[in-house]
Amino acid sequence: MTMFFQQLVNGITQGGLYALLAIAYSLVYGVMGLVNFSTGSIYMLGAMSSWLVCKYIIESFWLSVLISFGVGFVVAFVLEKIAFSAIRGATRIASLICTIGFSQFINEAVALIFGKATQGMSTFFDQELFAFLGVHISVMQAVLVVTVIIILVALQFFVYRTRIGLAIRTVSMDEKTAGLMGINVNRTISIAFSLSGACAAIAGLMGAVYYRSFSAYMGWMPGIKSFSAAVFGGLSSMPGAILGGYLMGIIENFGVQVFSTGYRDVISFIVMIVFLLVRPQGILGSKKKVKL
Amino acid sequence: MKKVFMFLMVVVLLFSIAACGEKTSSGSKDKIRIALTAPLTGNQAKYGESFKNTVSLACKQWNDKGGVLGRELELVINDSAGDSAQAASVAQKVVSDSSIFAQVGDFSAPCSMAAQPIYDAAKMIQIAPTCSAVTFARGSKWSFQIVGNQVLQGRFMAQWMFDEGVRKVAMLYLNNDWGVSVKDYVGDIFKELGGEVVLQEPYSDGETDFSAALTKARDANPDALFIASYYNDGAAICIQRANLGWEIPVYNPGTVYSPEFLEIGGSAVEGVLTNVGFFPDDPGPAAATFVEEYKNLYKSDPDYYGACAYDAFNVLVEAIKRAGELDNEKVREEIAATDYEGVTGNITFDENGDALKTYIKIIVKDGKFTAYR
Repeated sequence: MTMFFQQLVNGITQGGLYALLAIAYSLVYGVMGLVNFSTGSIYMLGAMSSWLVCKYIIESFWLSVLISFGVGFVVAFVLEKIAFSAIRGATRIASLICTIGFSQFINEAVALIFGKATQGMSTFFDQELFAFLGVHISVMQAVLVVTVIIILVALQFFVYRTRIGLAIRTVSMDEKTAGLMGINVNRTISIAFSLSGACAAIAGLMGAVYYRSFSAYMGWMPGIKSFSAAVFGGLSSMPGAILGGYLMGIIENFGVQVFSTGYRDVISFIVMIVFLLVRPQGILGSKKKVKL
Repeated sequence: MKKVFMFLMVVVLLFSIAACGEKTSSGSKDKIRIALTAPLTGNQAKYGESFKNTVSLACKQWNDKGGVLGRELELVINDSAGDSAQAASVAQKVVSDSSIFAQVGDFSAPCSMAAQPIYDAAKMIQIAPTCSAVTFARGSKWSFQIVGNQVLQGRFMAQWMFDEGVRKVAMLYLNNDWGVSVKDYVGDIFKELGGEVVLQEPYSDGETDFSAALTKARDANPDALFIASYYNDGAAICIQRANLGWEIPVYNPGTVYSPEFLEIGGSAVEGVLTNVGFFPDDPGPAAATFVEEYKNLYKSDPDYYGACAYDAFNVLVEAIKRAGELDNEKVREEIAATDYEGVTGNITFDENGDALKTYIKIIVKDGKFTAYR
């Protein structure tokens, strides 16, 4: 029983990271109908900036959050200008490949500058929040869950209660018509894209703090996993992406318990493939919106 | 275009004639040439650099004493880049150069083993300082290794755990050649001793989340946790063990013996038990002078792998000295009969060419590796 709840807690923590990244995918997909494959690299950049802040400036979690958010936002903004704005009108596949190239570029550049080896990260929130019947929950795990909730609520508010949010929803319905209605499509897309980058960077910061390490290639697996999680939950729906992230985390951890750690990725992808065969739009996704 | 091509051809020809001339000149024949192959570029470059430093130091020390058999020693340094295909082509190059007498290297097991058949066919002595794979030294009569093989290390770790009163052990291991064999040897010997292995859990390279595997291990209720990993995964596992609030003795093979392990792991790796064959902070008399000279020359601490390479070179040259002539058959016999006090401890070889080593027990205490007593 202890084991069951502990695995559940492990799954929810890991799922939180996936969920944050899945939101990043879903935001971009919602507006542009495109997948940004450099999300994993922005995750790594978020981790890198917090690592740099803690190592060279001050060991502050909140400053790290701020800097990571900024770095993610700016990098995604620049990426959108290069990979999407500059070649808008070209085929979708061109932009897609461009994001993959950008991702590779970021990873290798960071590996060149800081080396490929894993680096240690400062410790935050490693105290135990409580232990109940042998189930241990650390403050960090709680922080992660709360952060995901805050970001989710903030994004919901942003998308459904503000003018820019309205613009984002309009563009996601029909880009051309939105433009004709006087909405600045380029700016709207730019904002959604940058926000998505900020989300990914925050996830990276959380990952670095939770695993207490940073390395140039740390974004690769989480990037792929959370993309699958987003598809699993429904790429076009933000709550769906979050649900997908959490489910992915939980399934993986129980998969390890039943089979073994070596099969972790096999299990989660099999579950996803089988599910998508039955329901291609994902758990909460709507059928008609699949554009890609 | 044609003229440029002709010009280049002439230049190439001239150079090759010059090269031939150099090879047959009496000047270089006076020297005993020994090849060192190590990963000087690529992922393992850090280790290759260390090999190069220590072996160059050893070579210099011999030459300062007047060389061996009245002749000077010369190193021919080759880069395998940690790539087994390149290691094989470097080996081809080495054996085709008749002026090279023997070979030290490579660093990793895959590279050493890719080169092995080529040295074997050419009857050239190959001492791979750090190749702990069990199949290596017994693969050819010309092959030796210094670090001790995994059966010996496995027996050491298993015996240590058993002596500490551990009867049930859970094992996490990296799912590659190395991790699987460490798991097998430690596990099998531990069972032979009368212990029980309650869990053997593999993980893939690149895995970052171990909390599920650790929860599973805790559920199996062992007395100790054995982790067959390199330093980065080892540190990550220890951190996540601490996050789970799981207090248990942790044993690691010598691979975690690196400053990065302490830096990443912080307080979570406190109390981790591991072993090493060479310990700069607590050196024997031979090691003390080595550490000092190395520090003077390179302004940094030597590492264990470099120390093995240093010993490999010395074992080889000592054998040449005893043989009294440059005959590969005789030198091979002398190496097999080695009883040498190296910087990594006393070195003798078993009939396969595996060094019989003693290991030092160490523990992480107050953020440092210290001798375990």
